Amino acid sequence: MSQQSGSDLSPQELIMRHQSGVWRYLRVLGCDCSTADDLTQETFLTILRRPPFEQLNDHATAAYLRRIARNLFISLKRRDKRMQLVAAVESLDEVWDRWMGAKEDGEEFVHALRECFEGLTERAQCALRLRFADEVNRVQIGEKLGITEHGAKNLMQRAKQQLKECVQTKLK
Amino acid sequence: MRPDKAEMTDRATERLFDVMLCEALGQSKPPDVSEHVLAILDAERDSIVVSPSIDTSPKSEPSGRAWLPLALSAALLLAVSAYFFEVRRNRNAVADLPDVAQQSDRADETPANVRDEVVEGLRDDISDKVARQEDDAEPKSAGQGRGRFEIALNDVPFGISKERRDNSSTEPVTHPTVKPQARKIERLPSAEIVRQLNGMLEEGWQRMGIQPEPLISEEAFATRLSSVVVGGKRSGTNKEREAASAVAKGDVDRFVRMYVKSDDVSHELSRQWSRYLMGDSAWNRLSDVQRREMSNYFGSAFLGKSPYNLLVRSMLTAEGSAVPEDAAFEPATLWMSGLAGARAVPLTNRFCEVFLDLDASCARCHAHPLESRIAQRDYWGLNAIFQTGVHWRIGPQGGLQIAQQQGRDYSKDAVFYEAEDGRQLVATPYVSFVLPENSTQEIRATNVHELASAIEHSERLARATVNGLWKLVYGNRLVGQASNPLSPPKDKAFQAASQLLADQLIAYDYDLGTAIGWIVSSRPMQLSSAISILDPESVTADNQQLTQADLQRQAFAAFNDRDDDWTFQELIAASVRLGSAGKESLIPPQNLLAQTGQDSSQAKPPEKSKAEQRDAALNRSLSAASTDTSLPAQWMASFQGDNGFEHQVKHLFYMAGSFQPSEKQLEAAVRLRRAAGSDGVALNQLWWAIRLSDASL
Repeated sequence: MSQQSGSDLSPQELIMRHQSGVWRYLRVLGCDCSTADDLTQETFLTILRRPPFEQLNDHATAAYLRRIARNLFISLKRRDKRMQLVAAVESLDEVWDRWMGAKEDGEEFVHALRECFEGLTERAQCALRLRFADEVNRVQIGEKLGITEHGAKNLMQRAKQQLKECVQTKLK
Repeated sequence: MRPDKAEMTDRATERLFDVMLCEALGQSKPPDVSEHVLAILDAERDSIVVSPSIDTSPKSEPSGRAWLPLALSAALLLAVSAYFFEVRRNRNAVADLPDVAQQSDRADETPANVRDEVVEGLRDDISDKVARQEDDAEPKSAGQGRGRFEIALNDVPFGISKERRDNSSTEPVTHPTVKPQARKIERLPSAEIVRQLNGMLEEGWQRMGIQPEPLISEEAFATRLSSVVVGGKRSGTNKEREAASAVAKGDVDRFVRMYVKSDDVSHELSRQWSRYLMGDSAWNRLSDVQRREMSNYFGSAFLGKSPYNLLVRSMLTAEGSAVPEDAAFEPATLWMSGLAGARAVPLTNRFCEVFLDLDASCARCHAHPLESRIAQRDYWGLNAIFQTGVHWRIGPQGGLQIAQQQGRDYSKDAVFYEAEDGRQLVATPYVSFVLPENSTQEIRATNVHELASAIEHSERLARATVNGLWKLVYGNRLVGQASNPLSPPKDKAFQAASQLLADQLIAYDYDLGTAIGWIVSSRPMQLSSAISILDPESVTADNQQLTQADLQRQAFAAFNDRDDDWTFQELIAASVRLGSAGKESLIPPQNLLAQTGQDSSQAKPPEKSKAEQRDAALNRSLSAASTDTSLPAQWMASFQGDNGFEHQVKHLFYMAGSFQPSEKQLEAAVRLRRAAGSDGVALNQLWWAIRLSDASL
């Protein structure tokens, strides 16, 4: 808040301030875009249907919202009986705090990532774009770049490592 | 073994970077939900204020009766309050949230059961294809199905689409999620249909450079009718001659009326059709009475009295016993009960094959290698519909009874399946196919009733039906499946012919008798047979002629005389015997040709017995199979390594429709390999044996 008192935030302001962070957190939890949209909406509906809560600071509010979102996500998955790989959600929170900062919504991170991406080689950019924007599989990426599937995997891993280092530097 | 903390953190970091990269590269972005959230809250507040406004003032009512409106109002108020209380309680239960008043302290208080359960978390690798497929499936069953921002006052937030909730009410489910509407198609005269069909086939043959075999005589056509249509149960009688004469004169209507729709012919056709729908192994398990009942069931479709698509719908939704002696016997249940098997796999495979004309069986274990539209997730989604929606029990006579539990809540149904990489995944009952390709028709269903409604007017059912009828007459589909090496050449003429027949089948209200009339009256039925390696005459033919003859048969430019009296065991035994004796014992046709030439001046050799002729035919045919070291299908080359041969063998059986090859069958392949000393030769011999024995293993 820019330590603005939470009680000063209207429902609309609260949503506008935190919705991106909640949505990104849900995506990292494993939601596809559409489910993340639904759960973000449901997260805010859940807290706004209750009596006004004490917004101590942005840190506490963001953590609270993420907790609600996480519980909704688990309820959804339990209901659907869908099974995915099991991993500790706690480690996600730790990673989130480390990279995003507890009170941040990830905007700065995405901005840094975009800048770092421009610094990659054209070939690495092409591979990552195919993978993450066009959802092309490794075999096809390899074919497009004239390398094996294994080569495509290595290329992307190296590029991601470079991105991590670059983003880390920028966020310091 | 659970991953350690460092590994988990790495995975979480990877996931975080992957998601953020998706966003940074424009694949996704956070939404603005503020408007919708506020609108929903406003709507909720309004409805709560307005609903319970009840005027309880006595006004001009006599004081003696004032208790009545008061009591009614109080009851109504109580009911409304209880209702809203329940709605609110449900919402809270979903979120299972800590108290907002102390949010900063209690934010970490996840309910113990939620924390311990750890049903799921983040995925370790966004690049994992199957996980991605699972992600893709979610909006179909949850978010997207409902529409993104449509949470209303009485809405359950997510997890089940609106349609699915509607269908899980106590009312019987009869409405599909998307019901393809029957297209209005102009009905062409039968003679015109046959003329167009012949024109398309001839155009295709010309394009492929295939010269069709010459036409046969009317008498030979009559004999062929008896062998193909009534299964050789009588030799060209007057009835067949009259029918052949009608076809020769181009009077297809008369042919259909006097021949196809006669009682005995339609009954025989419906028997063959029932067998086709069931598949050989399931058909053989039925009792004689059951077979007769099933044939009678389809008889009306061949007589044009019941539209076949309605019968299909009944077959999928029927309940009752499959035992004719039971009081609750329902003939429509015979198909599903006959295909009852482990995890509904035979039912799923057969459904795809005969009603959707979809070669989906590969997707049971992995994404289809040649059909990009069929993912493993789709297969198991469809399978889950059958596995969770159709319930079997043993009836009083020991036979199966089917119950479909209409009105049950389907939202919690799911089945497990194993991904290609060994992970266990979950599929919920849901299927969505856009079929045929380039069509606007979508087959979308979450239970058997929706599925039945969805395919009832689907073009895909019509295409599958004409393809099946074509196979009944000519032994092969007009448009074959991608993975089958025996499929006809892929040519647009065959596609167009299939489309024409499917359209007209719809226009003729799924009258199977009339449709088979068109097929039997078409040109391929009137063509001579091409020379076969099994014929004694093949000794004088060169390889080019034999190859040309194979192509003619595959493209229906020659009639395919089927000889189904070989058994798999007999063929394997012959292969092993000849293989063990060494290659020199396999007499190639050229040698026989040379001997024939040398001995031409001498007296004719003595006539061979039928058994000797059979052996000779087998030897000739096997010689051809044994010299071919190329794989029966190119895609089989992808199986490499120690278990490559075993996988290739299994897939040959899968292609023949035997999805659980027995130990004996697999053992036969090993014997062939040992005798031949070459994987390629053994596989060709095995495929040859499977093909000749018509996969009736």
